[in-house]
Amino acid sequence: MSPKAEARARRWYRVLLRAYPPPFRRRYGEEMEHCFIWLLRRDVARAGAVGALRCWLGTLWDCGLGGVAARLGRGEEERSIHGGWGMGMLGSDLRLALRALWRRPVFGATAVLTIALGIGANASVFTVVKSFLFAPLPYERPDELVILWDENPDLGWSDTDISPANAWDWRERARSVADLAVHYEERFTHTSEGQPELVAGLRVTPNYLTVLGRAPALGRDLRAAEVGEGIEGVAILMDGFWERRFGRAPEALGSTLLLDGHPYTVVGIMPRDFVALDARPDVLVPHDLHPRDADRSGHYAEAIARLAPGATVAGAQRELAEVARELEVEHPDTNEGWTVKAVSARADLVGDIAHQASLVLMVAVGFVLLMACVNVANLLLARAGSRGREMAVRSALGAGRGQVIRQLLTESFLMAGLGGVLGLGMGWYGYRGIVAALPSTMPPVFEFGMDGPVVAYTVLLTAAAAIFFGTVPAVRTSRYGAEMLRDGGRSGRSARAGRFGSTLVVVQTAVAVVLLVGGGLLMRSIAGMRSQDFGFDTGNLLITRISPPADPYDDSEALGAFWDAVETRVRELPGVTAAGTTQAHPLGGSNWGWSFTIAGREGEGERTARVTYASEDLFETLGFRTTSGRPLSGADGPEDPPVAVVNETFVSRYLGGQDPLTAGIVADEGEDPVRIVGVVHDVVERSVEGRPEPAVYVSLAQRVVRSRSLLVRTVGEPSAILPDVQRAVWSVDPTLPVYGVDTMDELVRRRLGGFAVIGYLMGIFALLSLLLGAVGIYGVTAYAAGQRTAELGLRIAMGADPSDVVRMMLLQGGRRALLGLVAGLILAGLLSGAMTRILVGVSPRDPLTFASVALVLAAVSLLGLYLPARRAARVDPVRALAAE
Amino acid sequence: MADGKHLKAHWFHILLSVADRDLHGAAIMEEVLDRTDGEIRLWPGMLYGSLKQLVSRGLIREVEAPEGSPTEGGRRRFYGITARGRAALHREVRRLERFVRVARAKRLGEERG
Repeated sequence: MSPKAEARARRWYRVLLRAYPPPFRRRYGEEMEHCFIWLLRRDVARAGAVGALRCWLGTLWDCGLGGVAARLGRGEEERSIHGGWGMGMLGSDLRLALRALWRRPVFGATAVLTIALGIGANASVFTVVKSFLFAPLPYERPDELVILWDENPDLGWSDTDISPANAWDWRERARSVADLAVHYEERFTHTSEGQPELVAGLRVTPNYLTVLGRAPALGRDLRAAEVGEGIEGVAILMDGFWERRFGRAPEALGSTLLLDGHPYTVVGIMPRDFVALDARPDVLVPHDLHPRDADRSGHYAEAIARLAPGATVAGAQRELAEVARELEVEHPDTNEGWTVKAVSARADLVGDIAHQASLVLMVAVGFVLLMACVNVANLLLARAGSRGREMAVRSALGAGRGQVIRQLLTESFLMAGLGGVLGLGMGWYGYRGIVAALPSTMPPVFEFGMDGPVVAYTVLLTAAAAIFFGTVPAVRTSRYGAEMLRDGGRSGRSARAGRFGSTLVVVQTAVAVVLLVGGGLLMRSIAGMRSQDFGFDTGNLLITRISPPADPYDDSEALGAFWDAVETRVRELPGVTAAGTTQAHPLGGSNWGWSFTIAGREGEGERTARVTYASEDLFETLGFRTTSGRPLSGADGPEDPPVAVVNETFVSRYLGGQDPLTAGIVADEGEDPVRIVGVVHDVVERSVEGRPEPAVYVSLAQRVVRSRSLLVRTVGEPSAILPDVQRAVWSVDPTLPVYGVDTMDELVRRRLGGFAVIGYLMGIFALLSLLLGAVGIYGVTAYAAGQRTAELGLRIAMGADPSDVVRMMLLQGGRRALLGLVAGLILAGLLSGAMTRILVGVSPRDPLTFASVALVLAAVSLLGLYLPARRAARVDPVRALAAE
Repeated sequence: MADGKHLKAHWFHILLSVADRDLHGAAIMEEVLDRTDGEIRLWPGMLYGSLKQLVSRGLIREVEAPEGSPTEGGRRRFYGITARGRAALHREVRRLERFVRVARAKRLGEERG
């Protein structure tokens, strides 16, 4: 245990010691602290974090019970502090508590269920969040791993793929980086035996596995020299591929894979638990071009670095930015404006959105539990009257007040315990539901499970809940019992209980407002993303990918002919209205960019835009809207002057008022500019939540691309036509795998997935809080009305109109609700700022959401007030007065 | 209860710890934990609550710290057993012995062959 951790533990223990009465604390506190630290050190040394948790749980129990007992034991030295908590006593307390619950099954079930809902929500969210925020990544010393991204603030590029040549310079020059590996994904057609199969490859530098601190389970790692052109092909298999393709046969080692027609010898096989960061490859193969020989302007790879001992992410970031500035000077043509961003591997893999969502959801479930506790406290308080009588009898029979409180607290712990067990069960289903709903784009490095820490957390939470909702009612009830003995219960109890109940109502209303605002904002954000203008028609659109290999498609002519034939055959299918191809379809996750200058504006420096290579019919297939000029056309042949279409953001950001149809793009110095012939409406390309970026569309007839997406616009359900499309492709070449099958609607749904999960969860929690809040308000008002039966009866007997009584009660309750509402709106305004990253297109202080929540809550509160008030107004004055 | 039928388990262990020498609270806790292989853990609150009561019942008493005992930065209260405590301990040991004898007679607790 570090000295810092120990100092912190001492501080917390001193807080816990406050449970004891001051004389006891003064006399023994210092020695107790000494004992505690000794125990904690021992537990940490033996069982690490689990040991520490156990020690804290035990200590919490020790201080809680010991403290309460020592305080109540004033003057009755005979009743021992812990002696009274011997197993025998605990057993009898438990028996009594069970009997008390059993006697009022509806009350007991309501309380247990309420707690279970709160605990279950917390357990399920915590199970997921724990993995995101705390579980170690499956690599050696994972905190030293950082992921590096390129950035070019001048061009508005962030989190961009890196250029391997630059990355290799970072590796050589930055002292805070111990080592750095470059990797990128590449798909191969595997044709060794049987059916041709598409294989997901990860091109890595040979130090990739050493940087991660992992090694193959069988065979060897890549050798330092095994990179670049002309070397013999070697490959390391991932466990899943080994199982699928070789049935885990050890002979796989040393065998040869034919990837895109090239032989690769299998030299290693990775262990089952290895995951390649956010990639899901089948094989690892070395780069076929040494990073230092790569073209600096090509940003297509990712870099992972291991920090040198003692280096920090921020320090590395500073040093790398320095190196990037040197490279800008050395390579002004390619590196101007480019700098580096370093992010810890965990932060990068979790991502800002999931991170913020985790925190927001944890706060939300915390609030749900708070509301559940408040409701149970309310229930217990409302029962104080009847229990008070019981406790009075018990006191009369010789039970001390401490015993009575202990008895009541045992009941609370019992209810919380039952609720906790039930909640843990609910949480198990809950977390599995959340995990199942997580978008498939989540990196596979996270493993979710309800393990020891989750159970411990739940136990701790349950205990805290029991103390929270049990203490005040227990103390009140016992006091009432005592008063009952003295004066038959006509003292000021009801006023006090009422005041406490009112405070609870204010808290509940405020919390419900916060949760409803959070849920409402997210719902609006998701609805906005779903209904936004994508710039194309997402319905009835089938997507597939095809990668014709270099053999036999070895030149652009052969490739062009292949793709033309595919498009033509598919277009002729019945039920197909249009078909087009592109190197990357919208939302397909492509990051292809183009650096260029605008002809006549070279002085403004280099510009960058997303580039999409489109076949003639792509625009028609996707339903792009041309706002000026013309779309790409088949008339723009390979021999004709090159042309391009750009989007509206391109025009507004780069052309500064110039007529786009007179502008040209200079991609390579000395070459003729690419003429802009048309402008299309912005299309959602990269993500459903991103802002539009400048984009250029170039004709595939003028620049051939090998692997493409085939997009098919259908009359009916797009997936129904897939077999026909496959047959059409195979009629051109029967050996080609058709992969990456998707529909655009499905893709959009998945892209919204992460946001939708957060949104639905927040929605559920908000509704839960509304329900709990309504029940709470109803409960408190009904209880207050019950307490005032006699007074109301008197008023009515004196001639008050029942409607006056209703109005009076509404006014009194309404003031509390209003107070809670205003407090909640203020709190929500303060807290919603934390949601900026997960809100898209909605301000965190969106007035519409705030107003709707206020309205809904006002309506619910009014109903919760009105129902019991009306019943109270119907009281028969004679009976009400007679009861007194 | 203390002078009654039997001693509570943790009282018994505390008395056993101070039976042959004077110890301070932390040392008692350590000894009990070691002797019972971690089975009986006297949490600080439980420990000092019990010590307080054992003193008030006259089963143990606070004693002067032995010469040269390390103070570890704070004052440590040392406890020693009283005649009354020794008698209670003795009674408890005899009581337990009786149970063990019965168990042995039933051939329990022997090495299984």
